[in-house]
Amino acid sequence: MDDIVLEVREFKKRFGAIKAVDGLDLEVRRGDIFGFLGPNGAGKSTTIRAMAGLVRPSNGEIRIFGHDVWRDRKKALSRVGMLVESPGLYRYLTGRQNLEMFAELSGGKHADDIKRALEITGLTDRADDKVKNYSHGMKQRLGLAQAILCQPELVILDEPTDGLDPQGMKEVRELIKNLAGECGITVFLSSHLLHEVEQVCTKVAVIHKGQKLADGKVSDILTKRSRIKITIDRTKDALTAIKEKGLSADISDDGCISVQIEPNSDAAEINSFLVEKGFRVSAVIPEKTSLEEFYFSIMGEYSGKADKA
Amino acid sequence: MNIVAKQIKLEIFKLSRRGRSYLGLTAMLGLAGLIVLGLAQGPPQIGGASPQGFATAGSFLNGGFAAWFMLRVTLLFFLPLFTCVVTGDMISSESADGTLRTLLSKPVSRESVYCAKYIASIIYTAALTLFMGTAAYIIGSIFLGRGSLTTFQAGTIIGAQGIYIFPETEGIMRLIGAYMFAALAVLSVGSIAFFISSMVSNSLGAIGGAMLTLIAFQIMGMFEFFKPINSFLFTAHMESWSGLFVSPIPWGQIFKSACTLCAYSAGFFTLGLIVFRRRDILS
Repeated sequence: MDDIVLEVREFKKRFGAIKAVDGLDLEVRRGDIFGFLGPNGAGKSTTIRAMAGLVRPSNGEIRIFGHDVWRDRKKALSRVGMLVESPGLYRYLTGRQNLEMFAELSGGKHADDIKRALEITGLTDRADDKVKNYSHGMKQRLGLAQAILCQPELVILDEPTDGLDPQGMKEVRELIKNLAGECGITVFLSSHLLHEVEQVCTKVAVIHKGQKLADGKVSDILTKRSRIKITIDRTKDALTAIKEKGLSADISDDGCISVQIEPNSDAAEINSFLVEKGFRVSAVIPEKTSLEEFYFSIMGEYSGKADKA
Repeated sequence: MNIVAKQIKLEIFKLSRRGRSYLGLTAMLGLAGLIVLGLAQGPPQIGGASPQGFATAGSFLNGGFAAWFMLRVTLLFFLPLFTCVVTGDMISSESADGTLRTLLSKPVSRESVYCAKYIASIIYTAALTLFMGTAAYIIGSIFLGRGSLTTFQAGTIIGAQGIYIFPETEGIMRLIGAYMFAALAVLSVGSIAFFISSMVSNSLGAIGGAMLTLIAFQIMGMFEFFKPINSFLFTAHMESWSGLFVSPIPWGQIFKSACTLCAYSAGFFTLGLIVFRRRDILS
C-alpha cells in the first residue's frame, strides 16, 4: 500500500445535470509514468482539477500520499508539482519572480531549486524577462518549471507539450523520462498525443465519457492486442479455419490474414495448425500494435456497445 | 514567517507590480491638484453651508481645508470606485488569468489564500485613503499655505450646522481621525467588491456590482419610504467622519457608524470565504 502514490476511488463529478466523471478508479504507484488518455470532454481535466483540489468531488475520494486532497490538501499537495492545463502565470512578473513566488508557497524559496528548474526547462537566459513577453512555448516551459520546483515526489502534468515545437516536445519527453529515471519522481501525464504517451509512459488508463475503458501496463496492453500477418493460399478457407479455432481474424487490404493473438499464445502454434489443415503458409509476420491502434480499437468497441445499447 | 504572512507579503508584492494599483493613486493625486487649483480661485459651494453666506475675514483656504474638502467630495464615489478597481480584481482577475489555478494547486489552504488577499485589500484601501489625504494636505499647503482648519457643516449627516474652526495641530489630528474613519467606510464598499470577486471571473462585474450597491443604497437613503431601514444601510454611516469636525465630538454616533461599517465588511468577508472555500475552480 505504501507504494501507492495517487489513488482515485469511485470519483464522480457532476456539473448540474452533466456527469463529467462517473465512478473513476485509478491507482498510480511510485516510479510509474502514468499516461491518462481520452478524447476531449472525457473527464480528464476534471479529474486532474480534482487531484489539485480545484474541484470538489460529488462522490468518492482522491488521495495523494494517503491524504485526501479535498479534506487535507496541504499534506496531500506538499510533495506534488502540477501543471494544470495551460500554465497560469503572472504576466506582469518575470519568469524568475513567478518561480520565486510559487516556490515560497511550495515550502520555501530555494535559489538552487529555481536555478535548477530554469536550467532544466532552458529558460535561464530569459528568466528576468516579463512573462508577457514570452512565447507560448516559453510559457509552457515556465509552467513545467514551476511544477518541478522544490523537488516533488509526484508530478501531475496536463498536456505538457501543448504549444511546443517538435524539438521542445522531444525535450519535454526526455525531461519526463529523466524525472522518473534519474530523480525517481512519479509522473502522471495527461496527453492527446498517443505517440508521446507510448514513448514515455509505463502505465496507461483510457477514459471516455467519465468512465474508465481500460488501464494497465503499456507493454501488457500492446502485447494483448498484438497481431500476426499470415501470407497463405486459399485465404478465405484459412480465415474460416482460424475463426473456428476461436481466434479473431480478418483479411487485410494486401490479401493477407491478420490474426489477433493472445498474450501467451505462440505464432508457431497457429502456423502448425494451418499446415496440419493442409494450407501452404508462405510467411508469418508479427505485427506490433501501437497505442494508437489500441486506443481506437477500444474507442470503437465502446461506440459499438453504445450503439447496441 | 508563517504561511499566511508569506502570502500577505506576496499579495502586496503582486499589487506593487500591477499598473492597476497605481490608477487610484494617480487619480487621487490629480483630484488633489484639481481641488487645490479650484480653491486657489475662491471658496467652493458646500451644500447648504456655503461660506459665501458668511462674512469671513482673512483666508480659511489652506492645506487642511483642501484635505477636508477632498474627503467630502470623494468619499461617496471616487474613493470607493478606485478602491473597488483593486479589491474587485483581487480574485476575479486571477481566476480569469488562470493564476488562481496554479496558486491553489500549491500546498496552501483556500482560507489562507482568501485571508491574505483580503488583508492586502485592507492595506491597499488604507494606503489609498491616507495617500489621498496626505496629497491634498501637502499640495494645498504648498499652494495655499497652512493654518487653522475651518470646516462647514450642512447638518444633513450628523445634525450639526455651521462653521467650526480648529487650531492647526488639532485640525490635523481631526483630519487623521477622519481619514481613518473614511478608510473604514471605503472598506465596506471594497468588501462587497471583494465578495463578488470571489464568485466571478470578470473583475468588471465585481467593481460594477459594488458600485451599483453603493449608488442604490444612496438613492434609498433619499426616500422617506426607506427611512425605517436607513440606519442599516452602510451609506447612512459613511459620512459620520464629519462628526470629528464638530464640538463636542458625537463619539456615540461615530462608534455606532464604525461598528455598522465593520459589520458590513466582516459580513461580506465571511460570505466570500464560504463561497470561495466550496467553489469549483474551472477557469
